[in-house]
Amino acid sequence: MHILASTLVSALGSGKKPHVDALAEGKSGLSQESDFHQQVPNIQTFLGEVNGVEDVTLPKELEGFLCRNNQLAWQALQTESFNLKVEGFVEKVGAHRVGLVVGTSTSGIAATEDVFKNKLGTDSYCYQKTQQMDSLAQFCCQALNIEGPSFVISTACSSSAKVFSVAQRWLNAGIVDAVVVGGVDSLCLTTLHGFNALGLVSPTVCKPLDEARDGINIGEAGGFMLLSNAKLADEINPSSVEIVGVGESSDAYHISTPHPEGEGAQLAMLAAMAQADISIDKLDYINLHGTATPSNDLSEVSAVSHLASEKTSTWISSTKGFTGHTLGAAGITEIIFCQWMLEEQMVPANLNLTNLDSVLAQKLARSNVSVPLETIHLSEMNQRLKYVMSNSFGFGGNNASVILKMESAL
Amino acid sequence: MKAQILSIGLTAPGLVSFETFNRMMLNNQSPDTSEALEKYSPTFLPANERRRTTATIKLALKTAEEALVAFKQAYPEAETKLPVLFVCKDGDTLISARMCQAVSEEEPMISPTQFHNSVHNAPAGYWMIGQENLAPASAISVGEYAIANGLLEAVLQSQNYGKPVLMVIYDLPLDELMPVDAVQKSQRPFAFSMILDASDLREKSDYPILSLSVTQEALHQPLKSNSYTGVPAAEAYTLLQSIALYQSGHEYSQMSFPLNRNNFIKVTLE
Repeated sequence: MHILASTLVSALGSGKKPHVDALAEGKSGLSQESDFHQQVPNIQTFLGEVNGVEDVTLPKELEGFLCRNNQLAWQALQTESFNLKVEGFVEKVGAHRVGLVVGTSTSGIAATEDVFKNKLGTDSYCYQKTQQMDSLAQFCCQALNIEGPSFVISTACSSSAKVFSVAQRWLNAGIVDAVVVGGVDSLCLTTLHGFNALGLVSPTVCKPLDEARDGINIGEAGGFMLLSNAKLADEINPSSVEIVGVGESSDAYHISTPHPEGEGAQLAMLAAMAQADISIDKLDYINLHGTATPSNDLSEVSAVSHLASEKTSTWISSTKGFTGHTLGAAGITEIIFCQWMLEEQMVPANLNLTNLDSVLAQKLARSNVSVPLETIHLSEMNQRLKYVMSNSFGFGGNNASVILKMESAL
Repeated sequence: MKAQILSIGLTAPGLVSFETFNRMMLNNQSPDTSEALEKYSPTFLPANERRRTTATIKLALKTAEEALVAFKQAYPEAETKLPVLFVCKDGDTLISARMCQAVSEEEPMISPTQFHNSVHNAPAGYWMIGQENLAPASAISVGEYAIANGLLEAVLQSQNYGKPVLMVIYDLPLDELMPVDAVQKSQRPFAFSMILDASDLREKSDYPILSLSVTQEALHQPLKSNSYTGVPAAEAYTLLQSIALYQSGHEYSQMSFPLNRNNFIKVTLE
């Protein structure tokens, strides 16, 4: 699938430039003193907050959808002229020929939290357009005038990676000409307290793959891509990066703990590679799910090491140290990172890594898999990124891997 | 787009299975919608997991299990670790309401079990654990357009994976604690499941082939009484009724379900 347009808003900023700059410089968007911290005085952690989301205003006809999640969605749609590009496309092919599939884990539950906290009156609260799990799809379809098939996937932290397989199915069946995929998840109290109850929130900055890693930092993000099988939209300047493989699987192991050897994760990666028609040795970079919980990183690195051979020479890193774990938006956030890394030919640092966990190091030692401590700029080297893969794994043992390819040598 | 229906499950007040419903339809009876849902325990789950299942999870699992058991009986040789698609508008609102209440307290306490059960794909997660099934599992929400989008996604998945797919569409009323009007809390639960195979239409089945097409015109719906209005899953009542009647050679069946505000999926039983 060709990428006709993409947009992303996270703690790093709005649009491509602030993200590429932050990734290039190794600058994190996580903070110990964000506005949201005031709502959780009892929890000490870093958060990846998008500044000013609560001030985003929605157009009159969409006001009923007002909640943090849809505000963040609206900001993302407005960024990189994404909405204009989609509207142009819709005008050309017809509203019913464009589909929309987006991921979220908690939708607009913050609105319901506000009702319980007496911050929002029941008369101004609309469950259907905020917390209801398909609110994000309703909102985006109306905002973009899309009338093809559409729904929300909610499989926890793999949600907005799985949307790519749906887009593939619709496009291959010929029922649409293009699909908007994406995901939005926003900071809310239930998520933060829930992860805290599970003992998975780090009291400091998250340190993926580090021997001292002790949990996640929760972040928020909204991102979208416009995908098509044909590269027919010359005027909107499509990317030379393609989506060439999507793989999905289940762990069938435990509701909230991953399989220690990453059995399900291996299957998802293998399925994506099978579709892309490549072996792991062709992958130049893997963007790990890398949440920085002890169990996720062990499971995921085990999975990678099981698949890797002695010949495998690939970089792996987690970008959670930049954005925090954006949960249902993690898939789209990191897949867009992969697109931009291919376009800019760089490999992002595994931020906050000081000492690679010795167990993980041992697993990786038998192949040539390496974790960059600083961002690598390939323009300065005699090497190119061609194939990269992004992993997303969620509660319920739900896994998805997506492979992107740089079409031709620059 | 065509798919063979290989088995069906159904759970609603007054309906314990699709078989019961089938008999009622053939005898021109109507289910008693005032009855409570039959008690159910997912015995295929390890005890630890079984204890943690909620009413929402149980409704989805019971309905999934019925279709799988029927499928195994009808096709003892077939692979049973199928990809699954769970479709539900709201997820577990008892849990989300309790969590929202908890976080409004001075010292918020959310139970870890409650939190991991709160994810929309919790039923899918439990199902895969109970079935030791490593296939892809999806959990989606489509509001009132569940039937059209659910059927379309299940048929396309089956084409994509080249094997049958288990689809479960289930909905419950919003929980008492939710700050919404009484109407949404007084609806009746409804769940149905289908194992659909778009990869092999020649297989012998007790059930018809579903043929789907996208259209911009709604078909005139023949008037059939649906005792279960309210939740989106219950919109399948007419489809299930048509399947029951089709089996006894009664009727030529065609119907449409809204895909969104202006488009429809036309469903023909062949």
